[in-house]
Amino acid sequence: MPRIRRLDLQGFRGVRQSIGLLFESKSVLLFGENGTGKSSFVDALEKLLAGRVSTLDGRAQALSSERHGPHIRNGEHPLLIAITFDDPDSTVFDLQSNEKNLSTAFQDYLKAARENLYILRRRQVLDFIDSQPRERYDLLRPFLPLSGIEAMEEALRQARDRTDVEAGTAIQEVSRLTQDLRRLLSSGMLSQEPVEAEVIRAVGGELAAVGQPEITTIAQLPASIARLSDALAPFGDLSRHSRLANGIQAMEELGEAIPRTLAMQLLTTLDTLRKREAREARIFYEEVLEQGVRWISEELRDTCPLCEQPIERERIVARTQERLVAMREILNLRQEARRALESARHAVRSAIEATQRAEARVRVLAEEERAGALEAVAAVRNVLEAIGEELRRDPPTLNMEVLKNCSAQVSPDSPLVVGLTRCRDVLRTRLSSLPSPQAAQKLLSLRERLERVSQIWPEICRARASAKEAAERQRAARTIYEDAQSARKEELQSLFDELSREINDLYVRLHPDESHGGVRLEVREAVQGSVNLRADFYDRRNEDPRAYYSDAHLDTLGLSIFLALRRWYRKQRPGFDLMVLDDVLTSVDTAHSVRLSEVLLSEFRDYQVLLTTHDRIWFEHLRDIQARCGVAQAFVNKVIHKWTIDDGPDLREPEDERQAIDDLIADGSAEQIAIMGGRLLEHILQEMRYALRLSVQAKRGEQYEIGELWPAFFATIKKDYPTLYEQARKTLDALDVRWTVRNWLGAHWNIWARNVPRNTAVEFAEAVRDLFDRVFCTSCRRFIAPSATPLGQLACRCGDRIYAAPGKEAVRPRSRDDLVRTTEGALRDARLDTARYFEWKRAEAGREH
Amino acid sequence: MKGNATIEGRILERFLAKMEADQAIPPEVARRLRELCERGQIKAVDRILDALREGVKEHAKNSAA
Repeated sequence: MPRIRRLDLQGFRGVRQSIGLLFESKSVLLFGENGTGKSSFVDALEKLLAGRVSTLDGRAQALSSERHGPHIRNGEHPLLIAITFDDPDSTVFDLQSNEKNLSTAFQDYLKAARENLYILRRRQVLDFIDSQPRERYDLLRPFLPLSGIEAMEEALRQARDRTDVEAGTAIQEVSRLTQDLRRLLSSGMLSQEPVEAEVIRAVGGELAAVGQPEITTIAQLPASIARLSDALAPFGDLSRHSRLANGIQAMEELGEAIPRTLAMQLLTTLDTLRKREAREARIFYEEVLEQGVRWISEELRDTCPLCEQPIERERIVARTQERLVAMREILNLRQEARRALESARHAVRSAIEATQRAEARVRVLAEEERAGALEAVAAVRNVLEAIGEELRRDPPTLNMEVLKNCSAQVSPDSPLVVGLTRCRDVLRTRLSSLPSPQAAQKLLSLRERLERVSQIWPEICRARASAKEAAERQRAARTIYEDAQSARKEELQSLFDELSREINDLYVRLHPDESHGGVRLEVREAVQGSVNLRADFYDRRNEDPRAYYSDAHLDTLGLSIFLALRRWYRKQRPGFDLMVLDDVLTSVDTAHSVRLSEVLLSEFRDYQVLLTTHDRIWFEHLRDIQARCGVAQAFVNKVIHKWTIDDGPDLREPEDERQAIDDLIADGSAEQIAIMGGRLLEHILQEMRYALRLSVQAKRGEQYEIGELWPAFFATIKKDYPTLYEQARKTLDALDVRWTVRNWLGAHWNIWARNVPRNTAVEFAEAVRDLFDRVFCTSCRRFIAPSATPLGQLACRCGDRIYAAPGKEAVRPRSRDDLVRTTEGALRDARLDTARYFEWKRAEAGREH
Repeated sequence: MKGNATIEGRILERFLAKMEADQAIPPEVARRLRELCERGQIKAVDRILDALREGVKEHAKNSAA
């Protein structure tokens, strides 16, 4: 798995000149007081890995990392951010790199890093808790890759809608054919949904009326039609008569079909819908509003169920109900428009079929008998086809002007329809002029109708079967969609339950024996994509934690949530182990911050962590806890000594400064020697200020200079730690006289400073070097500090540097491993138990006294 | 967290199990939808509609038999 070896940056945020933060493939604990550039490293990581800086981008319209990321004086120091990884090739990834050129492991790492789910800053700790339910869900969204499921749900929803429309169309088709059947046969004998027996009975009645035998099955219908033809034979050549009658009937059917194509209902509905949509630009979810109203009304809530802000119940309910009515009207209109469109499509299809039948029957008439009927029917068909073409569109894109124009062309008083009627009347006149006995007319009419019945009945049977299937599909599609929705909700809730348990476990570890916890994330039933956060507080259950938790508890809850989510994300992206905590604890007391440190260092030991803090005490705690949790080797501890606008953060190690003094004494100028000597002395004094609790006048930003620290240091050593003073007397006295050399030569340019001999600078630097060697241990890399016992003793962590208390033997500090090893009983297991650790520490102190 | 299944995989499995246990959905339809899921075609509306058509038809045939 890739790990960061170093992070280099230049010309970005608080870093002007090139600087490298060495991770050495380990975790980094970075201490620096406020304003010393800690967050510049975090910003740089985020910019490089996620492409943005969350403290700038999106925070305010005028802020951006593009504009405000570069150092304000970057000039000759162009922007550079680069990560060097710890692979054998020392792969470098910078702002110009193309990740496609990297190996798959790095691509996976960088892909995972693009979602910023691993950096937590101080101001983000409460984001999750303070969010509204919907925003909270959005914060969880990156952890919930649901795009595939959402696409599936959308497809199932569309399928459900399509089956709704298909089922409606199938019912309409059955209805149309049934109406035709009822028109052909004596409708009194047929029910609204006639079965075969009724048709047989009706046909039988018609046949009996003309003295023909009845039928017992539909299959006998062709034989009956043949018998009717036989019965007509004695009346002579009736084919002309028959052709004219057929032509007239087809024209009549067309005449009836045309008015049904007039999309007036569709036009009216669309017109109303579009006006309403223009007025009601935003559509609310019915379910959301209904549930909201129910919650507010039934639970007598005085906060909004969505945003949890205070509300006036009656006014909100009234307004919501108005919105519901408006919304339902629009939804109904949309449904109605869809139905009207389907109906219009169907009617036009039927009318076009009627024109085809009419054309076929008119075409067989003699040329002189047609009387322009063929042209009149063709003209109507053209218009109907144009309407049909337009109706292929979806309701929102239908061109109402085209529809209106076309509909006007086939309206009852339009020239086309008037011409069609005239042609039909001419045919009727011609038919009436033909010699034909009444009996033949009756038989002829019955034969025509039965021929049509024999065509329609199978169509009805097929249409009914189709409608039944369509209804079955509709039912299945609806249920499938509902199942998909509830599966998502249930699975999310089960995931949130698991996540809640993890949050709760972490939280309870931070707050053992405290009567609160029970943190729960709940998917809100009524609202899709909405999450409630609830917790217990003594005997109050299921409360918003903000109601009762202190700021510190909310902070640790926010951290627990972040850590649980980070772990969750790791499960999804096991090849990405980076976690950044940027100065996240301010209001938490020592015991809780120690517990948090233990959780971090023990539970997240397989992560590469960048942990920054401005709190010197917490920094020291963390260094102790690293040893206690057995992860000291996995951490690099760094201190930013100071920051200036031009030089940026000063990350140099004291040994480097000592080495630099050696080099400069060999061949450096007086000024260079004085500056480096001053820098190391400043470094020593900063460390001693904390270790010896030097009393200095408080200063904004705690950026103390030598002149402010030296007198307190010198006086304290002289008074409280005489052993060190005696051993280093020559050095300390020399420095007490010469510390100002640093200012003469290095800080303030003075004309007379040119006369300060190089020797003076060398003497100053050598004294600083000697002091450093006496107060810094190269074995444990720690400065000396007062021992807990005996009072007045100074020692480093390992005891290699030790200055005994006056009149007492030097007591070498016991190593922690040794302490744990030699401790009896369960204390060894107490290494990660803070309460027991404190107990053990007190007992240890008591024994030493 | 359960196993290594992705969240989407878990939701999909729960959905399929729910659908297959649902009496309102013909098993022939459920089977076809599972096949669509396995082939990664469950996001195509036309394929879902085809599965519904064919599944309902087959169910009617099987019921009649």
